[in-house]
Formats: sequence, C-alpha cells, structure tokens
Amino acid sequence: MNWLRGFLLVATAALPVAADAQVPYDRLVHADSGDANWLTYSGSYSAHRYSSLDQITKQNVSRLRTSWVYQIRHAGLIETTPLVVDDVMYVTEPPSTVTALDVRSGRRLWSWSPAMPREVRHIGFPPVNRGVAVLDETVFVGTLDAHLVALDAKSGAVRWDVVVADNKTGHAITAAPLAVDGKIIIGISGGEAGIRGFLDAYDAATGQRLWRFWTIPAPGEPGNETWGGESWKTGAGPTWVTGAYDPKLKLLYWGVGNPGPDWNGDLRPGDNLYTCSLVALDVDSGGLKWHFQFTPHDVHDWDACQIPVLVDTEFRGRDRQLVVMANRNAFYYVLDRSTGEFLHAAAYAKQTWAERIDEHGRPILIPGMEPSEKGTLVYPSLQGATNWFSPSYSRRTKMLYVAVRQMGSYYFKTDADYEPGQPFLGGGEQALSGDQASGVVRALAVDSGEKLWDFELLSPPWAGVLSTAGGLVFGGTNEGNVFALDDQTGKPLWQFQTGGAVRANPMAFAVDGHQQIVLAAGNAIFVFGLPEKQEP
Amino acid sequence: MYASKATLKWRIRVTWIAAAALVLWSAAHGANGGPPADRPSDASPDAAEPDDTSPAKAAGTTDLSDGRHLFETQCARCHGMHGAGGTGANLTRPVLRHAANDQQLELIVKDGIPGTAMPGNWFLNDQQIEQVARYVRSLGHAEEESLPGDADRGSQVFVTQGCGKCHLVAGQGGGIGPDLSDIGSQRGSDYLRKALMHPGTNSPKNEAGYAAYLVVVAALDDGRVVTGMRINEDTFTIQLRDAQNRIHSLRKDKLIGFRKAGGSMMPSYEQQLDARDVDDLVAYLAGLRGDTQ
Repeated sequence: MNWLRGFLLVATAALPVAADAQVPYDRLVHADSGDANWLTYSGSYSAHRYSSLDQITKQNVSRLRTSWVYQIRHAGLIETTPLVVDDVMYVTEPPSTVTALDVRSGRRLWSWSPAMPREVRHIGFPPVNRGVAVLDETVFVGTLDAHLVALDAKSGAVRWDVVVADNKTGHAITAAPLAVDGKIIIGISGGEAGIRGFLDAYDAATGQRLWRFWTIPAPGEPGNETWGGESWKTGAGPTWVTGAYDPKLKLLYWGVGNPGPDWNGDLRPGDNLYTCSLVALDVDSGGLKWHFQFTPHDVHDWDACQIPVLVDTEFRGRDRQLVVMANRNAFYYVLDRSTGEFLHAAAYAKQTWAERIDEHGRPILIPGMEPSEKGTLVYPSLQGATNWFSPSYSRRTKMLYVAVRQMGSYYFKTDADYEPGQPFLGGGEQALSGDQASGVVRALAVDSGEKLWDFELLSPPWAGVLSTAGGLVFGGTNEGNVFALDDQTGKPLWQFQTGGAVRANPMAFAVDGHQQIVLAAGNAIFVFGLPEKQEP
Repeated sequence: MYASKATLKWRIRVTWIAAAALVLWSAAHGANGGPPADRPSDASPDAAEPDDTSPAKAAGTTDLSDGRHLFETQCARCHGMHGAGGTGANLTRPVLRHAANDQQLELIVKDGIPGTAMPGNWFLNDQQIEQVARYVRSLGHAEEESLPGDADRGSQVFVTQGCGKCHLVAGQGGGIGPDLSDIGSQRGSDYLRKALMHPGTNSPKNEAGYAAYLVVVAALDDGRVVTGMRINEDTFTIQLRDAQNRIHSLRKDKLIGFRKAGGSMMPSYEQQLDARDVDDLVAYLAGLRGDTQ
C-alpha cells in the first residue's frame, strides 16, 4: 500500500491549486485585510483598489518584469479587472467571455462564451466587459445582450442564466456584478438608448430576481416631479459601473448615469432624478435610503458612473464615515455615507461650466455652457474629467489617486427621436484632441480634494490606478505604457511599453509568496512580478 | 413596461424646442399641455431655414439641407465649409478614394477610417448618416474648380525649388515630408496655397488627432540639441525625424529641455516665389490625383 500512500501524498501536495475555491460572503467582507487574492472588482467592498501586498517597493520596482502574458482570442478592447481566487484568475474577454487562468503559468483552465446574437446592441459604447464577481463556488458575469449568468467556478459550466432586460431596446451589461450576502447586484447600460434605468439584485443560488430599484421614478413616486411630461419613460439613468457596499450599514452605493436624451435637455425639463446621482440602497429591499445628485438636469453626459469610495477618516476634527467621489463633472465630493449629508466639494480638474458648488451641493451654473446648434466649448469633454476607470485610495498615504482627463469639447444639440433600440442622443461632441488635450494621475487629499501632486500623461487616460502598501501607484496610458509612481511624490519609478493601449484597471495578487501586478493592454493581459532569483 | 415605450415616437424640431420646453414644464407642474408625443412634428415653420418648409419636407422626405446642416457643424472643421478640404480630405470630387459607393460612404461617416484622423460619428442616427452621406455625394457634382495657374509650368517650379528633396511624387523624390502623389485628391487649392505660404499653420492630423509633422526641439543631457518632426510620442519617450531623415529615439527623463515648437520643417515660399509661380505650383499640386506617372 506504500505506493498508494505515496500517490496520495503527492496528490495532496498538488491539490492546493483551486482545491477549494470557496468564497463565502464573510471572506468578501474581509477582503480588505489583504491576503494574496483579489476577490471583488474594486478589491474590497469599500472600493479602495488598494493592495496590502508590500513586496514590490519603491526600491525594487525598477526590476519589475513580465511574469506571463495572456492573449485574448478575439481582438477587442479589454476593460476587465481580473479576480484572483486561490491561484485561479478569472478574466473577461470582449464581448462577454469568461476565462479561468492558472496564475502560475497563465494557461487557460476553462473558458465560457455566451451564444451572442450577431445583431447585439451596444449603443454609445464599445462591446466590452469589466469583469466577474465570485461568491461561494460560483462566478457571475453580465453579458452584452443583458443576461446575468452564473458559472461553476471550477469548470465554467452554466448554473443559471437569466435575462436582465431586452437587448433589443438597447439594454446591455458591461459592468462587473457585485456579490453580497446571497445576492448578486448588477447594473445596466443603455444611457444612450433612452432606457429607464435600474439596479437589480438576484438570488445567487437560483437567479431569481429579488428586487429592482428604478433609477427613474414613476408617476406617484418621489422624484417623478423632476421629469416634464412623459420624459421619465425614456429618462435613461443607467448603472453601468460597479458600486460599493458597507456591510455594517447594509447599504449599497451606486452611481447613476446620464439622463436621456443626453445633450438635448429641453425634452426633459426638471432636475431629472436620480440621474447623475449617487444612490444609497438598502441591500435587502433595494429601497432608497438617500440620494445625492451631482449634476441636476445634466446636458453634457456627465453621468455619475464612477466609483464611490468608502473612507473612514477624520473630517473637520470628527471621525466620520464618508463616501467620496471624483465625479465626471470635474468636482470632487465628500458625503456622509450613513445620511447622504453633503459635506464638501471642490473642482479637481479643469471645468468651465459651474461657478462653484453651493452649500447644499448644487452647482451654480455659468450661463451659456449648454450644447448648441453651432457647438459650445466646455471643459470637461463628454468623457468627463474622469470616467468609469477606477481611482485608488491608499490607506498608507490617505490620498485618493485619480486618472484625470484634461480635455474640452464642442457640444452640439440636435433633435432627438425616441425609437426603441436606437440612439437617443439629441446632439454630440467634437473633442479637442491631440496636443490640445492631456491627462494626469492626480493625488488628492481625501478630505478636501486638494491636489497634492500630479504625474503628467501625454493624453487623457482610459485606465484606472492601483495603490499598494509597497508605496506605489500603478497605472497605464493610451500609448501602451504601464507605469509605477511613488505614492508620496508622483515620481515615476518604472515603466514598460506593452505595445497596445491600456484601457483597464490594475490589480494585484500573490502566488507562492510573490506579488504580481496585473494590467490589460492592447489584446493581452500582462502580469508583472519581481525576478524570483537575483539576476546576475 | 417596454410595450408602452414602443408607442412613443417623438419628433421635436429644434426650432420650437423653447416653446416645447415651456409646454413640458407647464405639464410637469399641472398646467394644461400634453406630453411631447401629442405634438405635431412640424409645429411651426422656421424662417431661418426656408428649406424646411419646402414641399419635399412637408411630404416627409428630406432634401439636402439637413445633411448640409450636419456637415457644417460636424464635418466642416476638417473638410472645410464647402467640403474643399482642410486638414481633412477634399470631398468635391465625383469619386472618393475610400468610398466607391453610397454604402461605403455611409459606413465611413458612421465608423470613420481606421488609421486616419477621420473619426466615427456614433452619435448620428442612421437617418442623419444617410443625410450627411447624400450631401457629401452632392459635393462631388460641383463643377471642378478653375485654377488660374499653369500646371505644366508648376511642375517645373516644383523641380527648380527642389521640392522633390523632401516630397515624393509618383515614387520619385524624398520621404521626409508628405507623399504628394495624390495631394490634389486630398486637399483643396486654398489649403495648398496656405501650406506653401505658411507651412505648419494647418497641419494634417494623425489618427489620434496629433499634428502629423510637429516640429520639436529637444536638448539632451550630453549637450546635443535635436530638432525634428515628431514621429511618435508617449508619456516617457519621443521619436523624431530630423532634416537629414535620421530617426532619434529619446527618453524624456534624459532631456534637459523639450519644446513643441510648432510650425513646420518646410520653409515658407512666401518670399521665394512670385504670385505666378505660386499659382502655377498650386495648379500642378491640385492636379496630382494619384495617377501621375
């Protein structure tokens, strides 16, 4: 029997690879404590996109080199944030493929692709996906044709597949779901198709819908009075970027997108709640606890689909539970996350549309900055001072790092016809491109939004940032650079030319005790680590 | 929920938007006035745009005015107000290089041309794209511009001024500046004249919107100064082509000075050529349509 015992020993030794890919809710709650994994889209429920791993430091980062590269199978834009669970990496490939990779070798373990209709609609954005969620032994993904699908984490086999909404009416999913206690929260895209937006919760075990929060209130509901006539029916308000969650308050924090039509506000007089707002929802019922609208009656497509970052810190001499957001409209906001109380706002990027934000958090508009037939030059551009790509909050430095777009646009206004499944826009933009635009990675003091340092980028970025306990901030450029900055000064310490535009968020994990940094670029996912042995 | 959306069909003209907004606002506050779906599509004539009240319009078809209007706001910045070209191509030709037929033209208006500065216009709907394409096609029926110069004599000016040292025509010449073999298809005569007099003031753009021949002066930490045209750039590096057609690959952290000088490596011919020479040279360049051997 010795040979059998020997076999079992060997088998046991090899088993830790995905032996038990269980991610109970409790593990997600404590994802902040920083083990070798990356368990949610933003790394933690508080959406810090911060890694507690500190092996890669300011001193050794110059030696960073590629550990492996995974090439996606069909060319397209990669916006995925990979998750790493017990030595397996889960990535999404455009448009809605999920692939599991062995983190040691980069080799594929399984891959699943939905049967996508050829005429799948994605109105106003490219066919992308930003990642998956995991809970227990299941991986969850939203598809471009607006399904939510549960896959067995070990094999990729489908556990359930539900239709969230009809893709023919322009509903689509690009966001990574958020897994909470027994529930999968998923947002919807379609802000340029005149949808009526919502945020959904599904039973993680069965796929049954548990609740739906409509981002546009119906007649008789509070907020409907902010929509003229029937305009609420096509009011948009998509929820296309993953939000944050406070497990103690049991509140979800989710950014709501633009009103429809985007640039012709005459068709929807009023403040247009809850577009361009942050909503705090009870996780069990989907009920609205509070809301805060950043841009009332938006006419520039400055949706609030950015990452709400939950921060516990001293604010004006008092310990407070905050939610902060660097908004697409170029202002940085600090709110109390239990009550929604507006505490502070300050411009963090060039803007020419508001004199200031008043004491209630409402912008005082500069006249004449609306889109026009001949075009109106306004900062920031349609794509905003920042966009879906993530900021990072470092618990080390108490700074919020934001990839900032410095770009203006001529905004145009035209007619808007609503037809189901067609663009519902009412205008467009011509952005000032090339040398007339640029970008920065900007470090903000988390309580004030004050600029602490800048690292200049050639062009307005489409990539998020990651900060680490090693004192570094990682990011990427449209021109293919992946870089590391000193988190205190913004000084560049390392860069690597990937050869393809970076349009994703970085994350970090560790395998066999070795920290790795991951960022997609071009048609590939790059994994960087330190050489395992000192090179001569 | 969405069954009711299908019955919505809004058609609101920009020209009565202010009035409509008032109606909507009143409706929202309990006053009389129906939702926009109740409104007729042409509630009031538009004095500023007489075409809009034309019989064709009333019959539910569109004439070229919608396309022209879109062209003037969305396309004219690069293609010129009359489509004769600027940093974008000259469109006043019956045959467009990238668009052999109407379908291709509509695809270009919608999706742009990869590898060029021509962007996609995703925010235009199918009808607007068709209107723009039809207007662009109509530009090709315009009469060929009559130029004052003598193209044959212009070809001699091209030789005597040494333009071929930097520019290719039909495979002959140098490769520092743009290939001019097809320049008459790409640019109108006004643009060509300005490029000779004031080079670099309206430089063509690449796919990402950057000036294609931007002059950069870089001071290296070893004391050398390199002046050249930017070939490519990222946050950390820049690649230049100097007047001798040498390529320089520079790291920005090694530079002690770095300036985007603008202008052009090409000299101005404002003083060097008389008016007749300029007319002739423009006529020659405008006649280069990619078929010169």
